[in-house]
Amino acid sequence: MDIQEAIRTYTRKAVSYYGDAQNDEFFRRLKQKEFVSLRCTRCGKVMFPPRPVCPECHSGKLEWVDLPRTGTLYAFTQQEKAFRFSAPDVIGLVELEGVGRITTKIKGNFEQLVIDMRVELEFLELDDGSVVHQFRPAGQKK
Amino acid sequence: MKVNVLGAAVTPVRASLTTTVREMIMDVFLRAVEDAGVGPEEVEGLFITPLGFAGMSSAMLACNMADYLGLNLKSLSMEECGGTSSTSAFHYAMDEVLTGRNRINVAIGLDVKFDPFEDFEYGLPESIFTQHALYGVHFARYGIGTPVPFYAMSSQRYMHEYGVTPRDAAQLAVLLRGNACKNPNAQFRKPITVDEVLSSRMISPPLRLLDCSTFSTGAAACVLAAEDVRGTKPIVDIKGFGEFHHASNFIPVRASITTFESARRASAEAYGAAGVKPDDIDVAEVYDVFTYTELMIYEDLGFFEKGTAARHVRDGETGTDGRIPINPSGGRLSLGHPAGATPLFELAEVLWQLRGEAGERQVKAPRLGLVHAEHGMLNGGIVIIMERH
Ligand SMILES: [Zn+2]
Repeated sequence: MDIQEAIRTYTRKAVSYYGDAQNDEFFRRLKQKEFVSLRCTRCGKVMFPPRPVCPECHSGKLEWVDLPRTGTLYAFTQQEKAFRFSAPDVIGLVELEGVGRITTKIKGNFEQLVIDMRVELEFLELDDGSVVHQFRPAGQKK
Repeated sequence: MKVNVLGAAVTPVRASLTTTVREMIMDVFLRAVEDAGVGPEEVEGLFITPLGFAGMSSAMLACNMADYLGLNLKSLSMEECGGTSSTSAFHYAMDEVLTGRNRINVAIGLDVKFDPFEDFEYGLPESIFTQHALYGVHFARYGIGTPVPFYAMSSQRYMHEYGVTPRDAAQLAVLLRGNACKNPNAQFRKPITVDEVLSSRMISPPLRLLDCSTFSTGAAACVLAAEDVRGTKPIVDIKGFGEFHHASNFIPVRASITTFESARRASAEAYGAAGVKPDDIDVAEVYDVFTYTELMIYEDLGFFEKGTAARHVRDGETGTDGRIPINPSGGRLSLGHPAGATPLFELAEVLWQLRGEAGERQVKAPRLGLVHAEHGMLNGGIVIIMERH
């Protein structure tokens, strides 16, 4: 087994151990260019990442809702060595209104990023066909 | 009922194993009971950690050690809770004395250096499972392989919110290295300057190499006993204990990443139980894995107002001859950081300080000492206050 194939095999297995149906659904929807999470119909809070029960009030009555596609850059850094992506790998916390801060990949030159700048969502398709979310400074060309 | 901290022992902190794992455990066990002035056969409970919490499997190591050490025990367990693993072992050992079930217990923390990039290839299946267990299935997709980016973003916010500078952080690193130079157990003992810190390799901005602790190897043990077991050294006992775990792991979705609820609440509980205030503490060891984080911890433990720790460090207040000496061992940055054992390294340093046995780095006649441990990015914390009688 070559290393890339081994990584895929054991990642699938790890996800089957530690994941859940909601995580699977999140990434399935991301592939369809939908950016969603679960909202609790009892307390009204939107959770991130999604899971089977509301972490605020422990209700299981949840509904999928669209997440905002623009947000504010709360903090950012870059990894000198990266596990999945080639270095330098920019990572940030993006504040989404009504949700909270999500950890995400950031597209953009580290030096040109500033705290509190507006950022917008884009879908990043990876070599294995899966899709992850990343944010880029708002209003820039792709 | 009271619990005496009767003895402790540590290995030197090093990059990799200098003996085997079982030899390392046996070494600290035997030296800790000798320091406590009790016999190995008097030990009724043994509580150990795994080989750190990110490395290779150590399933059933506790059971194996009962055999290897030749101990008949009333309690035996392996405890894991990230960075607070060895304080969990300590907690179990303390409680078995408090309930009156056991009179003498030993807690041992250990760690073998984990290199996520090297081990990722050598121990591929295990490393992938570890990454998913540590950071969760969602964030593993985003390639988070170490906690460094999380701490880097917390540090960036701390600079943004309070005007703390890289020079402030560097001054702390230099102070800690100075302490480590006087500690034969420390991994890093070559003096450094502020300029060297500021020009060291960038790891994850704003964190440079010398702002970071490192994965290390080492073991530490402590002996806890009922108050009528007194040994031969000055008596040190547990005066307060506090613990709090926030409903988050690494980055919380809403809570602050520059003020940590776990450190505030665990220390408030410990101060309350001990009937003391932060100002009463004479020496402290805190679980500081990055310079900026260490400054935030000083504030959250109540030693300084929020945002002012750097100024107090610059004024020398946290040095071994300062108003509140913190991390006289050299801290995680310069003592080295065998994470699974780190809290018990801290506890050993505070015990020696309280007994007046800390040699060149001894602080002046301390009576009250504090130990702080955390896991995740301070998502959970434990604070122990000890008193010399
Ligand atoms: Zn709810």
